[in-house]
This record gives sequence, C-alpha cells and structure tokens, in this order.
Amino acid sequence: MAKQRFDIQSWTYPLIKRLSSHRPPSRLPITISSKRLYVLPTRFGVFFGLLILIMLLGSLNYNNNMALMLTFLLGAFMLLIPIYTVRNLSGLEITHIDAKPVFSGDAAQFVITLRNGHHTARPLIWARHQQLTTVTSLPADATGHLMVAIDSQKRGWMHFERSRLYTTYPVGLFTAWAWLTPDVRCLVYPAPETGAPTLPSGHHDSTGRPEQRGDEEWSGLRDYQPGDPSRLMAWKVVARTGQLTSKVFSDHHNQEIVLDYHNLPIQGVEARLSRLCSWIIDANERGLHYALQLPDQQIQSGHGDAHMHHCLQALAEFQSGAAG
Amino acid sequence: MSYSSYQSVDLPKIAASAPDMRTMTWLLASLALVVAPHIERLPIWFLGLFLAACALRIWQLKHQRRSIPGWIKLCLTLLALAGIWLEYGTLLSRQANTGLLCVMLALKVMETAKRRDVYLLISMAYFVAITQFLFNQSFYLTLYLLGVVVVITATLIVIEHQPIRQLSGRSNTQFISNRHLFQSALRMLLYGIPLMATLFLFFPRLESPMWGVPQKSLNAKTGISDEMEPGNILKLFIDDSPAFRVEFEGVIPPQSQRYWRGPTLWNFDGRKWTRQRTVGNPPSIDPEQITDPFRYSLTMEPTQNHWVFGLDRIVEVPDRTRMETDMTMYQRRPITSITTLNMISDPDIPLDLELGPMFREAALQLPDGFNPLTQALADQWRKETESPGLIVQRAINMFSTEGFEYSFTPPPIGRNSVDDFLFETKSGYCEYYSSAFTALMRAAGIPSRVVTGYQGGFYNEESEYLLVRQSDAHAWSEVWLEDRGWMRVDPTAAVAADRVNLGALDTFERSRGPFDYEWMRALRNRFDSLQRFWNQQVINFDKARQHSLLKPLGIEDMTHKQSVLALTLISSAILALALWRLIRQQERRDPDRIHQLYLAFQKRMKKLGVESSPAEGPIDFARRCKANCPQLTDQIDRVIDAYVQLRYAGHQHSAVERQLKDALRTLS
Repeated sequence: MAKQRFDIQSWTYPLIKRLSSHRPPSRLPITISSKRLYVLPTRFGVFFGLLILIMLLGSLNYNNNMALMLTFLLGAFMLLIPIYTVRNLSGLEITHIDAKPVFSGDAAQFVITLRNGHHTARPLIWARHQQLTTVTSLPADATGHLMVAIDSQKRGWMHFERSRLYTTYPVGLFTAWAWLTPDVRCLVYPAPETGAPTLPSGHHDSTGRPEQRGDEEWSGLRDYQPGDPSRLMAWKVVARTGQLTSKVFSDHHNQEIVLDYHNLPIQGVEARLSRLCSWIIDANERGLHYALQLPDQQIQSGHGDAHMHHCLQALAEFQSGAAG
Repeated sequence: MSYSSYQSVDLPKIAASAPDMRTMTWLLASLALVVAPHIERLPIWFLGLFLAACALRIWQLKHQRRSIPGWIKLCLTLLALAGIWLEYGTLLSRQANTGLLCVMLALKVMETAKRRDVYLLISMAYFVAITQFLFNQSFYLTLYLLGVVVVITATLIVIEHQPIRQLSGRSNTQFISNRHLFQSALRMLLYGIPLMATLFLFFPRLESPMWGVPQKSLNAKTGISDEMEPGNILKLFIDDSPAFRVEFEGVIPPQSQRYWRGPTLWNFDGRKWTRQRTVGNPPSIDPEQITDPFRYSLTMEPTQNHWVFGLDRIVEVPDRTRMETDMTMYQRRPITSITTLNMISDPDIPLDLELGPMFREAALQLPDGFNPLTQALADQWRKETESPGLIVQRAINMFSTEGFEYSFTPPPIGRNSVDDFLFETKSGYCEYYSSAFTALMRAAGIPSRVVTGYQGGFYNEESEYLLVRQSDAHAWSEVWLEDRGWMRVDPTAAVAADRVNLGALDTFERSRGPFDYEWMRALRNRFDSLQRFWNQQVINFDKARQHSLLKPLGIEDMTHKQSVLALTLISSAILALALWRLIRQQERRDPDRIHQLYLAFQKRMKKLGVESSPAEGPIDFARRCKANCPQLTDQIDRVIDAYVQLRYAGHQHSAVERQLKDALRTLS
C-alpha cells in the first residue's frame, strides 16, 4: 500500500469516480466517446516528466543546444503520446456483456464483447475490477473479449458494477480510461445449503426423510449414445475398457418429487431457499423429475438443465414478501 | 460459450513480472548503443563490467536462475565507486559524473527483476544519451543519438506488449516484428519534430547560467598554445579537425598570404619558446595607412585557451577581445563554445616603426651558454655584412641552398638545439626553422620573435568559406628592421615553398594514418560544409538569434512574452493538427482504392436519382442505373466493366484502374 501512495491514479480515481458518478447506467451497445475518457500520466509518466524537466534545466543552464534539442524532442514525444493513448480507446464499441447465472457468494463473470470498427488496430485494452484484470488486443475490424468478475453478495439480480476499461498503449507513459457502467445484470441463485439433508423422494414425502437409494434403482450399463448426459457416464468403465459407456437407472420417471417451500422443517426465507436450491441441484444431477412449489409460484414437474435453471431463477427472484 | 480471446491477468504480478527475453534483448541493445560513444572517456574496466552484467542477466533469464545476492551487488557498487574515484580523482567532475552514471547503469542491469527496474533503466538510457552532448555536439553524433533514442523508445513499446506475449505464450516476433517496432517508435518521434523545432526556436533561453560556470567543452582541441618546443606542432599535423572557419566579405587573400596570427613568443630558453608577460596597449595603427583591408568573420571552434587568431596583420580587434602590443589577441574567458569574431586585417600595414628599449631587449634575449656555433656564425656574418636586412637575406639563402630539408620525422636534437639543427641534422619542420632562424637573428643582433598560428586553409568554393584545420598549424618569425618595423620572415618557405603555397598536407612525404588518402580528404572537406551549417544554424543558436527570429514579421527584438506567446500558439496548432491527423487516420475505414471508386460512382448516381441498396451487386445496380439514365448507358457500362474486372476477375492492372477512373470522369 505504501507504494500506492505515490501513484497519481490512486488519489485521482476516487475523485473522478465521484465526480462522474451521476452518470446513469447506459444501454448496450456503448461506444466509448472521448467525452467519457480520462487521461493521466502513469507513475512512469510522472517520472519521465520529471526527467525531462531535469534535462531541460541542465541544458538551459549549460546553454547546450543539442541537449536542448533532445530534451524538446522527448518533451514533444511525451505531449503527443496521450493522443495515441486516447485514440486506442475512443470509438471502441461494447456490443454486449454476458454473464452466466452464479450462486450467491460466487463471482459473477461478466464477459464483455468489444468491437473495433476502426481501420487501425487497438492493442492492449485492459479491464479491471476488484482483483481481476484482463487484457486483449483488437486487430482492425475485429471483436475481442474482456472479463469483469464481481463477487455476488445475495440472490436476485446483481447489477454490473462500475469497472474500468483502460489502456496505457503505446509506451506506458499515460493511461486513458473509461468507466464502464452498462445496464447489465447477472442472475444470482441462492447459495445451495451445504450439508443439506438428502433429497426427499416419493410423492407424499417431502419432509427430508432419508431417501431410499438402493440397488434397485441401478439397472445396469449400456453403450454411450449421443445425447446421454455426461453425469451418466460410467467413467470407471470408460477408463478400464476405453469404451464409452453410460449408466442406466430404472424408473426415474416414475418417481415424482415435489419440492415445497412450505413443507420444510426449517425457518427463514433464505435458509429455505438455500435448501431448495441444494435439492434442485441434487435432483438434476440424478436426473430426477421434480416440481417446485413456492408461495407465489408453482413450477410443474420436469427435468433437465433448462428446468433446473427455471426453478433456480424462481428461487432467485422470490420475493420474501410474497411468503406472507 | 468459450471466450478464448480474453486473457485474465493478475495485475500486481504483471507490474512486478520479470522482463522477458525480448524486452531484455531490446533493453540491452539500447543500453549498449547509448553507452558506446562514452566508452573512450570511461575507465577501461567499464566495458568488462557492462558486458559481464549483460551476459549474466541473459544467462539468468535463459536458465531461470535467481538474481545474485544483495551483498554482492553492494560490494560491486562500492568497488565501482572506488574505481571511478581512482580513475578521475574525484566524484564530482563532469567526466566522473557521467562515468558514475554509466557504471550505475551497468550495475542496474544485473538487477532488472521487475518492470519498474526496466523503466528506470530506460530513463537512465535517455539521460546518458543527453550527457553525450556535454562532450560533443557534432552533427554526426546527433544523428547517431537520434537513432539510439528511437531504439530506446521502441524498447518501451516492447515492454508494453509484454503481458500479451507472456499470456498467449506464442513466439515473440509473431505479434510485432522488430522492424515494425523500430518504425512505430520512429514515427512517434518524427511526429514530435515540428513541436520540437518550435520549442527549440521559441523556448525562452537563460541569459546566464543558474549554477556553475559554463564548463569547458571537453572535446575542444587545444590547438596552438603559447609555448613552442620541437614536437608541439607535430601533434597538430595529424589532427584534421577544424580550428576555425572564415567567411570573407569580398576579396579572399591568396594562399601565400594566409598567415593566421596567434600568440607571439619572445622568451627562448635554448629549447622552448614562451610568451613574455607584456601586457600593453595594442600597437597604434594609422588608419590612413590601411590600403586593401580584408574584412571577414572568423568562427572559432572551442579551444580551452584564451587565444584568438586573425589574419596577419589585424587592424580591427573584434568585440570582447584584447590585443597586446605584439598583436597577440586573447579573450578574458577561455573559448568554450563556437565563437564568431568580426575582424579587419591588412597584411601590408607597418608595425612598430619605433621599438622601445624594453622590447628591443626582449627581442634580443638569448640564453647564456647555449648554441656556441650559432653565435659564432652570427658574429662572422655581422662582420661581413653591412645591414641587418642583408643578414636576414643571407640566412634565408643558407636555408634554401645548404641542404636543409623539410621533414616531419627529423632526427633528434640535443641541448644546443639550434646548433644541432643548423649544422648537423638540417632537417625539420616549421618549428625547427622558425626557432633556429629567430635564434640566429638574435645572435646577429637583429630583434626578432617567433609567431605561432596557422597557415593556409581550404577554400570551399560551393559554400564560400575558408576552412583552417589544426593540421594547418604553423610557426614563423618576425624580425624588426630600422624604418620598416616588424617584417614577417618564414624560413620554412625558403626550404619548402609548397608548405606555404599548397598547405601542410601536400608537403607530407607519407600518409599520416590508415585513412589518409587524397580522396578522403576531399570528402572530409565536402562534409565540412554540412558541419559548418550545423554549427552556424543549430549549435550556435542563442538568445540573441532567438530575439531576432520575428524580424520578418516586423518585430525587431522579441520579448519573453512574445516568445512565450509564439510558442503557445504554434505548439497548440501543431498539437491540434496531430490530433486531427491521428484521429483521421483511425477513422479512415476503407483503404480499398477500388471500393472508393465504386463509392464515388454510387455517389454520382445518387445525384442522378438512383440510390443503390446494400443488398445490390454492381451489375444489378448498373442495370437500374441504365434504366433510369439511358443516355449514360455507355459510360455506366465502362465503369461497371472495369470495376467488375478489378474486383471479381482478379485483374490487378493499373491500366484497368485508370480506365475506371477515366470512365468515372466522363460521368460527371
């Protein structure tokens, strides 16, 4: 941290951040205009400026014309560099930002798609938020990706947090940056309960009684067929024989599970949602059919990834007020 | 979904990450280039230290070895400090300081663990580049250093690209070739040139230094000094560097009259001639006696001396220069920068028709107990000859008839140097002749003295100036005769008339070095006008010249305020232009010439009321155009035919392209 104190950016960022915080989130696609750009020398830039100043004083003092010439050349060079730096960012388009849903507590990974519609390449564009920094180089008329990871705190829709898109191209003397405030959000599922009781099985029982898991469900192996979910792969067999083999369970579709919010032996909205979440994942992993009942919503029985995400989204969006 | 093209980086690690091989190669190359011109001034062990540091660093990088321990570095630093101190005897002189800087640079090479270290080294490299100019400001060094600065700047770009190189792990050159790097750095610096020129012209200069005294220009050639002893001038003969350049107003003196007068020497100790402390007033010159004066401006290269040279005999002393009774000119401060002096000379002006007793005594002084043979010869001549003028003539005759030869490799002479020379070796160059002649004259009772300076010079016809080199150094004599005053006598001319008529170099019996050929000398003379231009226009640019910059605009003497204003205006204009250019360059989306022509065609048709739709090919579009403007069918067909050929049939002929352009022109 001591090092950071000398960094011009460390005290200007918060200031500029505050000054520019009135900007509402913008809709995609965003084109970074020069109005949104800020430029400052980097630490090396400040050092380089001081060096030029020393050179200037020395050569003026000794009235050494060649030394002055070189000093002025470096000075002129330094004055022109911000133009290159700004140019590298200005006009860059952010076409879309995607984030897959995450469980609460995990980092949401926003993948930013950038498009360089210009005739010149844009080398070394960086994105930074919290601990993660990503970098990409865009050739002329090309697209590229950057990523911003944001730790999720609670379930629901999490908005993209203001992140910095910056570049120090071409020589690291200046940094130009834009604050990225797109109107983008990521769905955060409740965190699955750790150590949750096993999934209730059977139509009538959803009280959390240990599930009847036994050999009778296991029906054997068969050759892998395209479309078999990977969780059904018999990896041990594959490893032994080299043949792609799938496990077959019997009677899955006969078992109907209803996961009911009201029928949980625990208190608290979040705790219940967590348990439901954990059960949904469990059920999906085992390929079971299940239905979800929430106070404000009912989801018909189904199975598969799409069904799971549908249910998890319902959990994420669940309003505690509706439990009423 | 896979996002293969983004790369996640842990930033603190990147900032601290060790430079990769490519960065290191560029860095070490720039350091080597920037240190190279200093090598001759640095202690001999520096080269070893620098190379060892580079080799060690490369080896560490290749074999992933850890950096050497801190205490070794500390020991090396202390050793280097001691070494510098031993070499220069101080740590504070300019040479010691640059030596220290270079040594620190070499030591820092061993310790380039982080990106920050590389930046520090780069900054040091820029600084070392600028220190070169403290020693030498020549045009060629400037060109060289510009190249070096481009390489240093390219290194900055290499560092900037390092994260991408490391993350993708692809081969280094795949991203950006070395040539491309050099070119981008060059372009960035070249864009700075107009701004640099503006700053150079208008940035306010200092009247006097803020600290320190203007130090001696260390590459200054000492040139002629105020002592003469056999062997002194020989050092100058092999030195082709310029002593001064002269521009004449009007007539140029002939070669045989180009005696450039320096210090006059009076005291002789048997071997060495030295100056007498004769602070006096300049010789009085009757302005009416000036008949055909030469007017000229003489631009001296820096020497570390006070002496000023002028065409014999000087009738008007330049500014800030003093002249003594014996016509020796000097400035109070040593000449440390290129100095231009305006002078008037008239070779025929009489000098000191009256000789005061003090001067007569000084001009007859001879050491006791030296050169008995010379004294005997002089006594004999004195008895035999009537007038001093005839004695002078006799001496000259002796030189030209009695087997004296002009040689740059004379045999050694002993304690009685004049005797040895006149009666035994009979071989030598101007120093020997003037020394022996003057001593002989004094022995014969004729007041005489030695004059040192230069003789001759190369006249550059194209640029119309005379170049006098150190190798033109010369020494001659002056004798004082009743009613005639001081007369110039050049005994060397009696022996080797070519020395005076053609110049020192043409009298050489052998080449002076491995690169001493006639054509090379001619080439050097040619290049000298470039160097002279550089000296006059750039190196010599000063506050006074700056102030008269705006003369064409009617501002005689530019004030500080005006220069700052001019600076601001011009710089802003240049920056705005650069901004506009760089942005435009980016936004020029389509460099495709042929497509541009097609766009122009579309534009023209749009004026005629036919607008192309994005989904429409050229042939379909042409069909609609023809339907709308039947009168233009031929022209449209020609345009589209040519376009289709160029675009789709793969014809790359410029003839077809011209056809397309012509067809387009007929449309408008």
